[in-house]
Amino acid sequence: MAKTKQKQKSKNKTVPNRPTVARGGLYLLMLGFAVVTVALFVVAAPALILLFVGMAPTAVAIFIDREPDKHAAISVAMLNFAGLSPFLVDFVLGSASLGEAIALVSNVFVLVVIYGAAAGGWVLVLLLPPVSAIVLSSLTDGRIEALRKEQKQLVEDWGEAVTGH
Amino acid sequence: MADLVLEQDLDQPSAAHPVEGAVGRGVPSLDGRCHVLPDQPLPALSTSSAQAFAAVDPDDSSHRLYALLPDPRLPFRLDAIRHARDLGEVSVVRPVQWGSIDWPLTGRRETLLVFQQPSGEPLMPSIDTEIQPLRVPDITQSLMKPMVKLLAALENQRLAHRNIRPNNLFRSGVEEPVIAGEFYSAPPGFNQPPIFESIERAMCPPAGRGAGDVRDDLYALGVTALFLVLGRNPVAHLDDKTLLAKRIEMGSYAALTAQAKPPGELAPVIRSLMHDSPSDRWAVDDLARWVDVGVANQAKPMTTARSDRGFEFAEGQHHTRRQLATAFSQNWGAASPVAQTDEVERWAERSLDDRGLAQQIVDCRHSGDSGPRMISDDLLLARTITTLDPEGPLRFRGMSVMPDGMGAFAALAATDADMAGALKEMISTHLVEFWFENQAESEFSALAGRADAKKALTYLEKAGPGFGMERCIYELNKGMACQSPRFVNANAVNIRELMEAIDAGAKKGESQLDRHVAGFLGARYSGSIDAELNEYASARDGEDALVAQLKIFAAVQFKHGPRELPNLASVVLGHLDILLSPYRNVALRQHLKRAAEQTAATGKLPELLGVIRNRKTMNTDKKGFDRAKRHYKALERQLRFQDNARARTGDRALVVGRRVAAYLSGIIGAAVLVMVMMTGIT
Repeated sequence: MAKTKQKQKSKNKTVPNRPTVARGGLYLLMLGFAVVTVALFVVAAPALILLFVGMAPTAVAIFIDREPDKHAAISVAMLNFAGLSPFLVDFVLGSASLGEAIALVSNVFVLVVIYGAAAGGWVLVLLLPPVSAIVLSSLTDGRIEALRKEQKQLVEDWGEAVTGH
Repeated sequence: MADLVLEQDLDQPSAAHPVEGAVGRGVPSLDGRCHVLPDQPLPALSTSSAQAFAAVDPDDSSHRLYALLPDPRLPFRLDAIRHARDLGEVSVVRPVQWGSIDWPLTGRRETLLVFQQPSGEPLMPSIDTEIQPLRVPDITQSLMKPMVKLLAALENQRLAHRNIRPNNLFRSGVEEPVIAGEFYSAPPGFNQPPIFESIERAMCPPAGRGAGDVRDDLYALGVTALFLVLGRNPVAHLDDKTLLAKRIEMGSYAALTAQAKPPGELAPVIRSLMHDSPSDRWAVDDLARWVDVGVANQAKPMTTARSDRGFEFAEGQHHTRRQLATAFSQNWGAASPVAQTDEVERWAERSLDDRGLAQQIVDCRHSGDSGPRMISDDLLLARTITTLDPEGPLRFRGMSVMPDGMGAFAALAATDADMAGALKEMISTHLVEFWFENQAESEFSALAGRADAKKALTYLEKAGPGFGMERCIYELNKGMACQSPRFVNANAVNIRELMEAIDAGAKKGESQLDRHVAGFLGARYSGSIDAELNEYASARDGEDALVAQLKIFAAVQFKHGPRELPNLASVVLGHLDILLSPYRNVALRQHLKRAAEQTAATGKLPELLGVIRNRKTMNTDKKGFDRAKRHYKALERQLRFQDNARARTGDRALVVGRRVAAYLSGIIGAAVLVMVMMTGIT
């Protein structure tokens, strides 16, 4: 009994902490982004321009996502950064000029790749909840059916009195 | 007519015995050992409560037998029948056999007592016929001598004959010893005309006269001797009530010999035998001494306090305590207000000059240690009567009964609601105890009455089936057949006969256990079945009652048989659904049902009860059911949780989907980054 209460307590503690942790992750991401930005500003200003222009969908997602754990923003950010990363690596590892950076962000193909990746993040965010709903609903129905079957068996074995009604 | 039949029977040689030809024509028989002939009644051997019929022993037709058919509403003397063999060589008719028989004349089962026909005629055909007076030596040798032996033997067995009178004494010829007739077929003293009973017992109706003891037989013998020596009833012209009043006023001997005196040498013997005080009456030893040596101390004359000024009541003057007590008991309604005044104690103090008695009458108003909480008007009068006439019977609301006669009296009183109510009240108000407290001496027969009253009180205090008046009747009368209206035709005297009758008439939907059956089983069961009867009495519903009934019948069958009760078992099967309803497990119920059906086919109720009510199985079932119930509740909780979860599926799916999207994006992003890095480096 005591153990059950303890378990419940710990559950109660973890549930409200979850958005905090997610938000912490986002803050960490933003902090990392800031560190990278400052480092890039010092060592590679063209890369910084690329980053600002390339990560614009993430900024929009962070602004749009009102959920406390910001999963949508994280999802968009991850794929947005993945789309940006091939161009950014070239800029970081190579010695690209500011003009090259402007030329790159003016290239529609490059923007389509970077923003398309970000859009992929939005696709996942929009697509996975209905899929989850189908899966979760199916799981719940299966569980309910199993429980009802068990109850029916009990009534068959012990009569209606076992229901206590 | 009565004489003719008897003489015809006695005079016929055995080969030409009129009953011989009747045997073998399907006449009723007692277990095939004795044939009773319903078309050959023997009025001379009949009594006021039992009809006599000729009977034949198929193995030896020279035995002249007769059968008595006792009144089934009365208890016969089972204790006397059982002790008859132990009496030794004495002159008394003894039962050859007894039992129940399907009797064609009544169309029901009847108890029949079979006796050897007494060899000879009764000394007087009836007590009101005149005969040649017997001579004193004849009375001494033929009557007194065998009677001394008989009464001594009866006394040794703690029995009394209580049926000694001239027309129940037989002898085959002049100077032949007298043989006493039967005394088994009715309660003690039931068939005696009041004149052969002591005053106390003559005051009671026949059923309430009580078992009595040898002193009552000696009294009856004294009166019998008087009748025989005179050759007639000296007071035939007096009715019973007048004679009783005269006996109370003058004394029994004086009242009976007022107009005809016995011979001088026999007068003191008869006077000593007829002494109205049982303690001063001759004992068997006194009579034996007189028979053997011709001398014995005469009983001292009885002295009764008599007032000069009579107590005026019910248009009469009453000068003695017993006279007043009798007048009170015979005029109950008028006596009750008198008992509430101080008139009686003033009369005792002033006219009888008996301060002790006056104080005792005052004390009647106080309950005392053994009395009830409240002294009702009826009880006050009953106590006053008992105080005035302590040796007299218990008298209560017009009812008179000796303490040792309550059993037989209760048997008859049960058919009369008023009488039964009065008897119940008399017992429950501890009047019997009060009566005993007022006795100067304790007598054996009276002590038996005290025990009976205590036993009766115990059972009357409980009202449920198996207790109450019905139980009292069977507890106090071992020879009483079960009076249940449903089984009265079976005339069951023992428990096995009743069980057979119940089985034969068992039908579904009818309770087999009415108050009489329950009382009878409770009283006759060897041991105690009161726990089961209590369970039946306190049954809350049909199922409880059925189980309790089954427990009772199972216990009875186990101890008393019969081996099989198929119909009862079948009736139980009819109620199987109710009986198995406490079992919750459906499969177990089915299993038990099949087992019960198999067991019921054997007709063994104890085994059937074992199947239906097995404590271990019931406990296991109960525990299993409790577990199942808890499990069902837990499942209900889980179902509620799952229902709630389903209602929240949309919200949860959004959260989960986005989280999965975030994780999936992270994984894809990380993979792309690693690939880009590796490509860039290389």
